[in-house]
Amino acid sequence: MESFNKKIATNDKVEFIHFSLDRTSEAALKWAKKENFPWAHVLADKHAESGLKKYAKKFVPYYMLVDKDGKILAEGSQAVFAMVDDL
Amino acid sequence: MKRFFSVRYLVLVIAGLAIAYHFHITRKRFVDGNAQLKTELSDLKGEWIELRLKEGATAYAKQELIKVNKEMDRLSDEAAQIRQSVSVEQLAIESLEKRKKALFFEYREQVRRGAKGMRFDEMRTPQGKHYENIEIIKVGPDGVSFWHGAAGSASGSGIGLDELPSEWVKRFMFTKEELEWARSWTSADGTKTAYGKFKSYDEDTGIVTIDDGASKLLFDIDKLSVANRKWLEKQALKGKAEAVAIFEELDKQVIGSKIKKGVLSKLEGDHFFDFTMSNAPDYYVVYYSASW
Repeated sequence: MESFNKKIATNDKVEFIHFSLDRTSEAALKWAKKENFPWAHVLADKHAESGLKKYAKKFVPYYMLVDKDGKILAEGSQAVFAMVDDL
Repeated sequence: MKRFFSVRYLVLVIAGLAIAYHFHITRKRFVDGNAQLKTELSDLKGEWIELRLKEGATAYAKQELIKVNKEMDRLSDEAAQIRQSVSVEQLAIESLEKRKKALFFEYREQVRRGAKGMRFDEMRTPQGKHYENIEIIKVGPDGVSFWHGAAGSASGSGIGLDELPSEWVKRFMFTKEELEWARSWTSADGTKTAYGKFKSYDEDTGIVTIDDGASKLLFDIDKLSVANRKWLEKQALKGKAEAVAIFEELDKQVIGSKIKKGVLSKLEGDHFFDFTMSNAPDYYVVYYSASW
């Protein structure tokens, strides 16, 4: 959350998207309310439409920095946020 | 006798020659071995000298390394001192900036209080409204109220932040942030007023969302003043034009084209609401996770 507020919330070049792997939107909502997530979510019923499902790994959490053309630029929270610094 | 002597003599001569040859060969081997040992010894000496030289160079390098390490320690201490000094300076600057800001607000408050009763022959808003014989009633965060018109028939009026002439913006010290942020929201019957930044307008539900700095306020557009509704219509048109341009940009993207509308959700209060993208970013950080 701190990294988001410092590095992404004020950067128009970068959008933060949470791809929720919770099976129901109720579970995702409960968690989002508890943590007061400020970012946009892709909920379970929109996984296929989003085009982001193909990048998912078999483990969580997983961070990925991707450009507008779908090219992966960095993976893992450290690498992603380090690269966001330079954007 | 003579024959015996000659055979014996011959044997002795051969034996003597064999012994002499043996001594000769042995001596030659010894001399050769000796020469080889001398050469090896000479080589060993050379190697020894070389090793000593290398040892000397290593010792010198060690000394240099110790010196360099000491210098690095010294520079590191200096850097720590500089960092501390910069930190102190930064705190001092931050403190001064806070003080400067506080003084600015204090002074601005005095200027605005002192504006009461101030007179102007005329004033024209950027929208073209013209007022004459003006006497200021109040300068507030949402705009300026005043009397205008000839004495005896003067009427009260007010202008919002978007109607302030540049001369008044400067005179009454309205900052850019203030002009961008605050706006008054008045009920249709004029009895209630709130201040805040316009966040969004949902055409389907007619709900206007305002951020008053502490929380989000929701208004039904039909219950807002005519001036507010007109402003919102303008904003909506402007917003539509901007949205079209952004969607065109997003359509060119592999990522943006799929998520721009109807895919993303955002938490608002206790519920998720559809989130439509309002800008076209070049990069996306995607966070795959779950509550479990």
